[in-house]
Amino acid sequence: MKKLTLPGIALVATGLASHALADGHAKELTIAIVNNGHMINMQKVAEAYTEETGVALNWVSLEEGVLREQVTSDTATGGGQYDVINIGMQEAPIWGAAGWIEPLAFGADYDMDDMLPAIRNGLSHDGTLYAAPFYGESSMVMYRKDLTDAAGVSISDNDSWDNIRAAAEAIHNPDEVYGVCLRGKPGWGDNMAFITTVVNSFGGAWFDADFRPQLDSEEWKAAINFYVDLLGTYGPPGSEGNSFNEILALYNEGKCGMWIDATIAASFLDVDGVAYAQSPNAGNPVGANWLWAWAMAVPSGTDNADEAKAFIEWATSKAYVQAVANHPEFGWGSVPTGTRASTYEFSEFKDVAGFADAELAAIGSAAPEATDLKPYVGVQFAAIPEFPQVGSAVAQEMAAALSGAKSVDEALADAQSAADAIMSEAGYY
Amino acid sequence: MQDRSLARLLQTPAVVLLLIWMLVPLGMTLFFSFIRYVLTSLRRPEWTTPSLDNWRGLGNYQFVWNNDGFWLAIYNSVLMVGSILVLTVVLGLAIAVLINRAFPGRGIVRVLLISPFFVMPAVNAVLWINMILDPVLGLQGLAVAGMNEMIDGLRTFPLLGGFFSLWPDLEPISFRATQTSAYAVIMMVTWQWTPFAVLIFMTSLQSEDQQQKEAAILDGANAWSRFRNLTLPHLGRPIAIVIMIQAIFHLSLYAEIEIVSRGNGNKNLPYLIGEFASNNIGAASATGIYAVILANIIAIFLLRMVGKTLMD
Repeated sequence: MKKLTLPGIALVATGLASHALADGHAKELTIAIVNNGHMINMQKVAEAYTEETGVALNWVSLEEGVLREQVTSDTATGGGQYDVINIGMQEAPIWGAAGWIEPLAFGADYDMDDMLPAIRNGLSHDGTLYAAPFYGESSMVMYRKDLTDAAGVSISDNDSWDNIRAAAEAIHNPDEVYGVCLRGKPGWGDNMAFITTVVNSFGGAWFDADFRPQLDSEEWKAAINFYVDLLGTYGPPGSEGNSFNEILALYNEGKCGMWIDATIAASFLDVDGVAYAQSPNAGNPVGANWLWAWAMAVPSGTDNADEAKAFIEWATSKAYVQAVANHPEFGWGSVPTGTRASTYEFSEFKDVAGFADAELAAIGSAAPEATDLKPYVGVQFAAIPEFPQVGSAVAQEMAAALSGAKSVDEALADAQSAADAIMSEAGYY
Repeated sequence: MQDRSLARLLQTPAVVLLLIWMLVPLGMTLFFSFIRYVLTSLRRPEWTTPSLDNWRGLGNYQFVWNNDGFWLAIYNSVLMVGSILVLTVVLGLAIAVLINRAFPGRGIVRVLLISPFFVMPAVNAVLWINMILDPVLGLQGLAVAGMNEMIDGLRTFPLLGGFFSLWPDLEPISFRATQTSAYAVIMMVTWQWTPFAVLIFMTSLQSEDQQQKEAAILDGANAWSRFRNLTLPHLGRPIAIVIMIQAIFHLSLYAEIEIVSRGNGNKNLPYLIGEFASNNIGAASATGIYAVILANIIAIFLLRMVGKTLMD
């Protein structure tokens, strides 16, 4: 970073002030972002945006949970601290419906039809886009083909869970490598993201049409019994503490034969012989892939809505992908993926991202819309304000079942009663 | 008389400020705890603004009372505070007495002993759970794997091998599990706060009457009875202070719990408040009031104890 001398700062400050007075617009945006790789890179790439437009950008970079708390309370109380906020797919439709964030409409250059339909649907409410996707992801199987070949087993796209279990059994060798690594750390965005995809593939759902929790259903019992058995038998010890980062560390130490997690993980894997497959499914139309996007939205409390929208239009455009690709510090390996079909058409991108096709297919097959089978929006979550609370209560019960403190039936019964209490407290029934 | 009222007048701003500082947050918490107040609701949008129209009486208190996590949280709060207090006082006493005599390198040893206290709580938790307690990549996992390998090697010996093959393989313990996560928190907080106890005890040992001790030696008292009858009574007041201060701090443990297991098995009252506060501010406030009550009950016991030692 360049050092500014005190007179320099004063000069800039007076310059800004006179500018602001002159055209009656504030030329400064405060942006709250989640502290993962793509967003951190954006701070550097956006230096060009400031040079071009003269809009100064203040970044507030926070850990996911903290960001969610900060932004929720700021937006709910109309605090107006931020001009642009990073929100996820769980919040976007709810906040749009509540009028907390402004609807987004962009010019023809933006090419809205280029946006992946699943992602666009997940960030819209009643057909109106409320948050523009910055980067999107789904889930898939990342397995060590060298190990499965040596063990004489194979994993195919949308394999059956029985076959996955058989493959885990075949490559499991606790001294060297564990058959399968899966999320177990409690949290609605941690273990429940994965567990919900398993439940979906077994035909279960979080709620029925009246929003009564369905955690004591046969589908949940079958799915959780399978999950606890698979991870308990062929997983590493301490799985109830593992989420994305912990498993990534284990995988890169060569301790995992198979991992089902976010597609973005593929770009961080540093071992040989990794192959990808679409998530296992028992033939359920909801699919076994999750769907998530970090998106940017404009809170209704801001005074700089126009500048904020202009910034979002730039940061989620095709031009931004190019800007990252051509940036001296980054390149095609660092472009945010999972939002635009056009990104996957660049041969330079496909050359560095071996997972590109698998990721595009996984996102394409995820279905966030409400259906008869799953009467709420969202794949691995429900887009209702109470979900984080329900999700974390259930998450702890699932971790208790995984670590053997409770039987699966006990854990599900306790999860059901906790979820039921939260939903009835919230006035659903 | 004139002088005194002037002095009172001059004190007023500070007193009023202090009262506002204390009463406004407490008053708002009390108010929120008696009304329906949530951050978002699609079904009942009227609950999203705090107003007397949403009066609920003791409903929030009842909801929290019947919550599955509430009694677990109280149990964990008491278990963790109690265990940490006992461990830090016992370890602190032992270490303080041990390093009270002069030996070469005493300065360095003292600095090293105090240093855990200056580690930030979140850093402490991350270090312990990932680098020491992790069952695969942590020190524990490596040690268990190494021991298993060693036993495996011994099994190949003739004769002795038969004996070792009877030994089972050691299993690493997962400290993020429901059954163990509270102990992980107790361990890391004890490690961090023992130096605090050592520091307080060490300074007060310096003021111990050496002539009295010499007299006891002449009378033939052994080391244990000198410690029991002279040192321990001398340390009565510092022990009470250490317990009091630590109880206040550890009732509000949060960072360690979040990092170890996100409340799975070690959820305490502050963590439960955090969980409610993601949306249900009414329930979070009611839990806050319960926490104030619990803190007061504990404080009354501790104050009595401190008062007693001060009397003696």
